Amino acid sequence: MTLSPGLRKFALTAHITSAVGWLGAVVAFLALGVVGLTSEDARTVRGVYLAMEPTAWFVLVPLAFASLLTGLVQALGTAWGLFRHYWVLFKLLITLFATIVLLTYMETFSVMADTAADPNAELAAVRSASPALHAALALLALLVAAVLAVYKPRGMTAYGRRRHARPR
Amino acid sequence: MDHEGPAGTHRWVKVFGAAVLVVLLLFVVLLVARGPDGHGPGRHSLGSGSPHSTLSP
Repeated sequence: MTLSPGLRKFALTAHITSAVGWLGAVVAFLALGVVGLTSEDARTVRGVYLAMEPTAWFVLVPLAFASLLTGLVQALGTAWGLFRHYWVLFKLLITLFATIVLLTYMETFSVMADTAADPNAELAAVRSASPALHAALALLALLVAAVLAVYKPRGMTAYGRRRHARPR
Repeated sequence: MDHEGPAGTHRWVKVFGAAVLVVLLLFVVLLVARGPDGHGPGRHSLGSGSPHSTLSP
């Protein structure tokens, strides 16, 4: 299945927008994580961990799925395919892995928000290095995916080579 | 990035594949090590133990 040129551009725009949006949202989470660790103001620290859970549900998760789905459309709707080129395959693995880790991590956001909302919880218990650590790793993974998408390094999978050699 | 190995696989693919395997293995090890309670914030928190362990009485 190959998309028409107009539809292909629309799908590409949607994919770039969601992938870059996800990257930007992760940078924002990294900033929040650092503020949560370093701020001296108790209300700011609690506010950071309280804001993370809804922001993740309403921003990170939708952008992750949008990036994954538009990437699948982009691969399957063009000559690149999903399993023909190593760079596409690795990018899919990175996006899939990051999305799974994010969904697994949502429970952690919930626990941190509950702790931050508890007025009896000490500030040391509210603070956590986990979001900053995960955001930094996610940022690295998404940057690698972006580099793969831009440079498109050569290399076809065995399946891709077979498809390429097959007479049409 | 375009150097091809003897088997026809590019060098960057081998390096990347190895890195992906290491990360996946690490993830599985962390998942197994965390036990039934999940990959909670206590694992990376500044306080000791679970986040609720330092609650005031």
